[in-house]
Amino acid sequence: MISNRIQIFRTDRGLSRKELAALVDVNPQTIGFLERGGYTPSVELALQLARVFGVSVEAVFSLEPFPPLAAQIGAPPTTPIGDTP
Amino acid sequence: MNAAAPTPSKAPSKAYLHFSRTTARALSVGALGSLCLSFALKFLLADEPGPQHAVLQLTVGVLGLAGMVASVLLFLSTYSFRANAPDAQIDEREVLERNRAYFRAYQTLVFVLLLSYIVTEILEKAFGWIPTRGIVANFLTLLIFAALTLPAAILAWWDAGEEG
Repeated sequence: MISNRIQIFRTDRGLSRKELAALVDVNPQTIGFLERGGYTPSVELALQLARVFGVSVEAVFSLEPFPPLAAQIGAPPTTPIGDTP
Repeated sequence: MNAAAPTPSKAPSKAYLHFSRTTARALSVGALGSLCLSFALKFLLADEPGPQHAVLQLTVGVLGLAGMVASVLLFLSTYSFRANAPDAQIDEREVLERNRAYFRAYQTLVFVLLLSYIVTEILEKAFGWIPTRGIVANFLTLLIFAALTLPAAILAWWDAGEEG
């Protein structure tokens, strides 16, 4: 199972699924499948997606699950509601 | 980075009928169900004509016609486009789905053929029953329509229904 950050990069770049699909020449449904992890792309499609986002392919795809975004940016864990002193 | 609003290059042409997933599924069930029922009821027509013979004949005719119309409609749909499109016209995930659908259709048809052969052999050995030329012709018609319809029907049932 390959993890990916397609949805994060897509929303960060302000692209809709249709727009991203057109940029890499696939059906918009395929972008949805990719984002949900329902389909593992070919090497060619993975490289095309990385090129569209302007990052390395390792930044978009990983054999291991990506750590949560909060952990990646070093944010402290949020305090649960009601636990404030 | 903002991209200009592009249009998908992999969309089927407007010549194909754009049915919803639910409609395509209903058509697939209607097509295969009507044709199978029509084929099964034809066995009753072989008996001596009785008072209900005309009604049965009409039912068989209507079911057969409805099955054929539903098959043709499904064959003209976008699901049929995806099931029969060459590699260049669909993306890599759709190619994979198309190949899986055809493989499943092939497995199903081989299973039906094998089962029919076994049943026919058993009926012949046990009761001396041999299918007539008419029954074989009807069975072949059923198989032809099933072969035409199955890949698109399978894709309709596999469709997650997401528009992107």
